[in-house]
Amino acid sequence: MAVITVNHLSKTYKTYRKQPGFMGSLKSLVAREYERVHAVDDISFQVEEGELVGFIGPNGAGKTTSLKCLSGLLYPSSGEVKVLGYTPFDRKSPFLKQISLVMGQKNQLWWDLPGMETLLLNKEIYEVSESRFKEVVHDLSKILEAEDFLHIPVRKLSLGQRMKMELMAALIHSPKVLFLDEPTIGLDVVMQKNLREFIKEYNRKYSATILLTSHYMGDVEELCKRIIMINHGKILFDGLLSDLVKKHAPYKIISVVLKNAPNPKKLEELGEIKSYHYPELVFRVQAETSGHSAAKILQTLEVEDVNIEDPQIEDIIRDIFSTQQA
Amino acid sequence: MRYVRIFFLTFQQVFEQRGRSFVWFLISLWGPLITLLFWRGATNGGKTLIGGWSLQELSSYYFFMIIASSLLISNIEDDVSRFDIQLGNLTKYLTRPINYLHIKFIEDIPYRILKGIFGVIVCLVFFILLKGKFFIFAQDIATIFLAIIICVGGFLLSYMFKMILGVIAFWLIEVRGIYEAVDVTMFVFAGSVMPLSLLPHIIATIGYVLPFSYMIYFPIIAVEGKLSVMALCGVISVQAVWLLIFFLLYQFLWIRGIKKFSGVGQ
Ligand SMILES: Nc1ncnc2c1ncn2[C@@H]1O[C@H](COP(=O)(O)OP(=O)(O)OP(=O)(O)O)[C@@H](O)[C@H]1O
Ligand SMILES: [Mg+2]
Repeated sequence: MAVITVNHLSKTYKTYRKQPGFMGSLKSLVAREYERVHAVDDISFQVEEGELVGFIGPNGAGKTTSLKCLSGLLYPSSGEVKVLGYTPFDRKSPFLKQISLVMGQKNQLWWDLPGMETLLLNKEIYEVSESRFKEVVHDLSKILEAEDFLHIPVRKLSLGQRMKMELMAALIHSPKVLFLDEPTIGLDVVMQKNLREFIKEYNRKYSATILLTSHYMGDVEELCKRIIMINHGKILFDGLLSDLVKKHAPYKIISVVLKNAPNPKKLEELGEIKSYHYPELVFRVQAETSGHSAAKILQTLEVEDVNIEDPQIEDIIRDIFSTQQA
Repeated sequence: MRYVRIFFLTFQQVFEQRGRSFVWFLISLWGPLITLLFWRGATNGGKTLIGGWSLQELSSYYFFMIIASSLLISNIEDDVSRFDIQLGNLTKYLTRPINYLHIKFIEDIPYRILKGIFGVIVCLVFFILLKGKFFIFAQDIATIFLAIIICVGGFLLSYMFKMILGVIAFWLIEVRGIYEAVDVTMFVFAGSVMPLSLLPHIIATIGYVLPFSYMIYFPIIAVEGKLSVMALCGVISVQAVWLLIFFLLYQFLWIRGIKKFSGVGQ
């Protein structure tokens, strides 16, 4: 059974434009020019229990808007959303007790008090039993290495520590469905990695369904088998990351370090040259015949080092967004 | 029980900011104290009555006003309009399984208690300085009991009214102007300038119809024991009617407003 079902969901924001300055204010009082932003435009998809799906797209694509509709914050302009069998916007208690929305830059923590106080508040709000609470706090603080700062006022914590507390507060009721909006934003490389490990572990341990947005391809590559690409509010691709690579990048990258400069004419017969800064030379060749191409390259050129790899996900995705088709 | 525990957790949060609220409170004291000096002059140092009120009764009224306006009048509208709706803090309430009207109520009570305590302290100082001469209290149990109900009713009324003002921010970006206009209206009709019965007849009559006098004026004169049991019950009935109207209006606005909320950010 699908945990999340989205059918032809659209969300349109109505905003108004104001010319700068005093005259602009006057004008906007008299004749306000409204403008409609189609932030999410007729999207449909399903997510099964336990899936970890990456939601990717450039700035303003509609990712956050989609997550807000799924978690019941926004009233959809049209279309239907079901999460765990509930209509999110009704915000029924049993629904809210099974989900969590974490936004990298918004927080629910009490600023002047230790994070523990917010955890205790959430324990009451979500009606978590005493023993369950102890267990969860123990588990989470161990995986997140947060034992040391549970009792320090939030305003004194670093960004990364705050994010950990934020996650703990969001997970105290062990949600079955988790919406993570740029959870790794502003974190250093080590923290990013920790957090990814944690998300993976949470997904595995509780077979939680997770929808995640991120601008770091590393997050998506490491965590998500399936991705949904969105731009201008429309879905461009929905499927396995590996299929995306197969479909859009049926090529491999062969980089060689040359011993001496070859005849440029000979190079062109070997394959498409992606870049050439002597002594480094990079080819882009068909994936199926990459073995053959590599052999030919090695035969033809005097080579010190050679390396065959898949193209960078980042590059593929940039290609798709810039050509706007999937 | 769950709400009680949430209340105690929230209380700590408020307590962290006690210093700041005390300064604000001291500033708000000037109004009633200066008015008192004015009445001292107007009653010729207490030798004449004004509209049937002696200087002693007037003083008592303004001292109780200090407590009533800090203990009973909610300021939740700023919180709701600016932080929750305009800056998007509402997000954190909407994604948690708790009713917004309830949690805001729980968040407001600590402020009322804290400010109410400030008010009581100030009045205690005056009580001791003036040897209790300028304070009038209800004497019999029935009156005191009903007066307490009226005070609670006054708080509930002001809370619901301010919540309604707050959710207006779903539609209007600039709410300050409205709030200031409301403040002035309240100031007159709630009896903050002077007891309603001293105002021109027509204004007093309007004041008795509008809800504001049931937030400050009636709670004060009820505590002073100026109302008969019949009159006290009448006040409670009017409070109940206004409370119902406010509650329905709030629900009406909330259900529509929340559909307009877009939760700013990212
Ligand atoms: N509260 C709002 N009012 C009006 N327009 C909005 C609002 N929130 C978002 N938008 C607009 O809707 C579109 C989608 O925004 P959204 O926040 O969903 O994008 P996003 O994919 O999360 O982008 P990012 O990667 O920058 O976070 C953008 O054009 C944005 O300007
Ligand atoms: Mg976003």
